Amino acid sequence: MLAFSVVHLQNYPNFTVFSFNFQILTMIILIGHTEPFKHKSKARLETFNEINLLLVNYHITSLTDWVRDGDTRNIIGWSMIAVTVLGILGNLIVLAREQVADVWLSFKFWKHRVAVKERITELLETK
Amino acid sequence: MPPQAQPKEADIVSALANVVQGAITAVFLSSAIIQFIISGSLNTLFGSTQYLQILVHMLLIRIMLPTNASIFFSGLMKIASFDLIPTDDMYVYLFDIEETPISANFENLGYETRQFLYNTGSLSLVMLFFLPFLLIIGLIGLLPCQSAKNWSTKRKQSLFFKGVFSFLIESYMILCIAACIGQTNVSWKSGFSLRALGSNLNLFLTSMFTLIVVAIPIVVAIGYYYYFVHIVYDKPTK
Repeated sequence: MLAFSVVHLQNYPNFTVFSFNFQILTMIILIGHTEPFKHKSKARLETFNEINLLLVNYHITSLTDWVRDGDTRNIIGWSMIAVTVLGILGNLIVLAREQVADVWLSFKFWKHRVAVKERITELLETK
Repeated sequence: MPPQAQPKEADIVSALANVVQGAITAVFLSSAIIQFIISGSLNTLFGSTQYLQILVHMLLIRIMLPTNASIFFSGLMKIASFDLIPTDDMYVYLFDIEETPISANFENLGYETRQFLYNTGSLSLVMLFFLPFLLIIGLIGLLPCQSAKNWSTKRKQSLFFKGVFSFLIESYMILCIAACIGQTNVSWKSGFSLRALGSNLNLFLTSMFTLIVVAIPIVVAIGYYYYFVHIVYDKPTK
């Protein structure tokens, strides 16, 4: 749907923007209503991403021919950059946090395995 | 006519774009490497990649971005195109492709022509080499022989199979866009020249992948329906 509207509705940017809006809102409703993810954190991240895309879409709406004043468009551009950076930063923080947690868990698991192995060898030696 | 960005403003925006690009590359690469080492899941990474892809593809709309946003997003588009192996020169040499992008935004994102093969880039190579393997493994699983089924199940559970399969699912969006772009340039050319070969190949690939990208959601929906109705709900409760 997104691909079709982007390519085949090139001459009708307003319709494309409305189509994006409809798709993103549908995704937010779907994520909230059907709960398709096993973990709540994943659902939260996806909702955050969709809301961020919705905000970017509202900026794109403002950048169509409706707003013609150059200074206003420049301010909208800065706002759009800020929203995008916020979205990317959120994703990167979640990703980095997950990596640290995974590495820590693997390290703890490895330590536990070594301790169990040592205990088994100790028991075997005492026998 | 949008106002031109002041040199200082342009410098700030390009510095910001460089920082964001660097951060994305560092976190995504380290995440992929760490998850590969500890045999973890790449789900969150794929989720973030998809977000980034949708974000940059949204900017393909024919609107005039202000200069600051234009500088920032052109940097982001380069990183989101994910073309791992440079194949562009090869395809241009092989098929004598005309380079006429739909618009400047499409060109920035790596869709420099209206040919399916060129626009998918290294993805076509991945598909060419690995898709037959995945199909063969899936078909062997359908044989009425227990050992063949076991072999197929074992292969399907391997990290390689899952990795390639996830990669193809993640690239669904690029396939959709490339198929839609290809639709704007379908024509049959007779003769044996390289240009005719490129044009006819584009017609064939675009038609095939249009069918595939339409069929995938339908097949997935039927599969989920079958899974929930016949496997989850029909399970005898204790």
